[in-house]
Amino acid sequence: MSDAKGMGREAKGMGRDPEGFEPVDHTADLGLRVWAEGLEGLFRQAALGLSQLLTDPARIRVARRLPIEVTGADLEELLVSWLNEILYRAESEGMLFAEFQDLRIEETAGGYSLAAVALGEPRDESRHPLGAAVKAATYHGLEIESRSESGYDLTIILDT
Amino acid sequence: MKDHGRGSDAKMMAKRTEKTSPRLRKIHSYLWEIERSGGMRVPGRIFISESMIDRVCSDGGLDQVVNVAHLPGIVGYSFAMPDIHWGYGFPIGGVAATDPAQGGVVSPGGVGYDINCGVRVATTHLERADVERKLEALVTSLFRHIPTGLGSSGAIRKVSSKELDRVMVIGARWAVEQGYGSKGDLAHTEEEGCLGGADPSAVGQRARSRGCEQLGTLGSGNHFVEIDVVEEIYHKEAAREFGLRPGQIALQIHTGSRGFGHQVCDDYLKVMARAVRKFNLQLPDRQLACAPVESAEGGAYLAAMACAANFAWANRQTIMALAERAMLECLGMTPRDLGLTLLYDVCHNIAKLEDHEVGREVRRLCVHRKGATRAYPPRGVKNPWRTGQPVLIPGDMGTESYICVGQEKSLRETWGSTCHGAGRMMSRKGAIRKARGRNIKQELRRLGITVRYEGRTTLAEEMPEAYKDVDEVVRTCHGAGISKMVARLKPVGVMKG
Repeated sequence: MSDAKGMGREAKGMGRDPEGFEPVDHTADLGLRVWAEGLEGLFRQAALGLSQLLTDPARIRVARRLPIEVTGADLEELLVSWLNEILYRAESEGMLFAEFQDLRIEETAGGYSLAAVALGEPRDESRHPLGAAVKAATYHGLEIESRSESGYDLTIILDT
Repeated sequence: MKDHGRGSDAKMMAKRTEKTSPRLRKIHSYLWEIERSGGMRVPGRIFISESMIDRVCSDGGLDQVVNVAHLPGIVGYSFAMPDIHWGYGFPIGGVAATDPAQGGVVSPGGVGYDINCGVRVATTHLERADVERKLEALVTSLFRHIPTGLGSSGAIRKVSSKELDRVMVIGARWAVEQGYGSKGDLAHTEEEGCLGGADPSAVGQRARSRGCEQLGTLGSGNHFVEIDVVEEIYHKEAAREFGLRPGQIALQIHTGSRGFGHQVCDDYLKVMARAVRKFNLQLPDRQLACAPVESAEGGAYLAAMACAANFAWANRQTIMALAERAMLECLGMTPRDLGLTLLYDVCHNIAKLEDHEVGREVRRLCVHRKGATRAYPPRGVKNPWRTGQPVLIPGDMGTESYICVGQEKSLRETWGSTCHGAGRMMSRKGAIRKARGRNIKQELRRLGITVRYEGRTTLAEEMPEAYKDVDEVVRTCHGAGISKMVARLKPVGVMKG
């Protein structure tokens, strides 16, 4: 399976995957298709997908556990804020993540909040080759509300 | 759920094709129109040649031209330049002007994340033979002096938050005051390297911290520093005015406002999402989120965007000086022998308040250029050039760049705008697939181009075949009369972030 590298680890080698991600072709930028049964799974897969675009997660050791919290007026804003927070940590602290745990999404007075623990380590140039240069996650065509029977399935366009 | 993925891709394609192929009506050989329909407030106008039509129609870019035509207060047409391709919100290559007096809006999506991404070209006294055998060393030296890549911080000392305020307000002049380049450079920079209306209090803390870290860094992706050779002159008079001659070595820099601009855009997209609800604006795509220019939200965005634009000009000014040091060190020359002189600096991701003729009156419009370049005619406002404002069209690795000149027609037809570059025609994934098993670096070397880059994926993604023919894009603008070709530059040494 030559494209296995582009698949989420959950998706590898399985016939039917309840959740996962895969990069999608987009001429100017990069697309990340993400699917999951529940909202938390969706957000986790999106974060894993983005992390894989930044570098090979198999090379990331879990040396640090960082709590991350973001808010959004609606779910779309929450998702964009979540992914841009991961990009920000990569840029400002050089952090690369391999896993995201204890992800909780709650409704608040102002919309939604997300809390999670990100597991990873600061980039070590000798071990972590640079992947895509992602500037930001965009709102282009993003709709989370439209959940089908099998769950969520959406494509996030990343500005590169 | 094997076909889960396929399904979604297909759905997306369907979503695109359903709406699309908005019908194109030919105006002349280089101009096509999309008639008004649905919620479009104005028609769309696309500058392309007949041979580009299939490619443009198969991309989602035309849908986005239609979407932009929905913006409140849009005047004239929703334009696309020949380098149009599917972006997010606006198409890349999109130009739209809104009238603030008629409720016209400003949209961060019409500028993009990389606010004031732009290009500068500087000429030198050198000939090709002066650098030919030193290209490898020269590119290495550029890498040593100019920081790049993911999270790279500056070669220049980290600026304080207070100093950053000054960068935000005075732009390129800040860099000159620090000893990066000379005062004369400012006269050869769009807006003299400083956009008015900048207000640092409109910029958030996170943007500030990213700005302090990243001033004087190139970034990655399609950003580059290039050593070029002037290969051909098309317009002798303009070339003379611009100081260009065949065989001459030039320096080209393509970068923008880095994380500072990305953060300003991200922050204000949230502000705009609230404004869209507050002003009850109907938009076909959330990435077009906007607010009236004359609202608190619109004003704050323009003030913050100006800060990011000024940061970008300070950044390019600084990087040019770092590149000069790299060249001097490597070639063992004096600045006088090298003769590095800024030809011009243009931005291609910006929204600006400009005076334009609408019918018989002059109105102040908010002109969005998302992947488009200002192209003012000779002797106009803010333009002392006898032959017209220089327009810099960067190619991509292995493809040529062009220097063009603004024309009278651009003012009349496109709010004084023309194309900005080649534009992708292959997705990154597609490019990587095509590059598999090939040595792109060696292929480029055979073409006489020395390349250094960070990260293998980037090079494959950015291989020349992934881009539309810049030649055809520039010729279409030339044919349409919105800019004229002056010279073609060939890359010989490339530093790629």
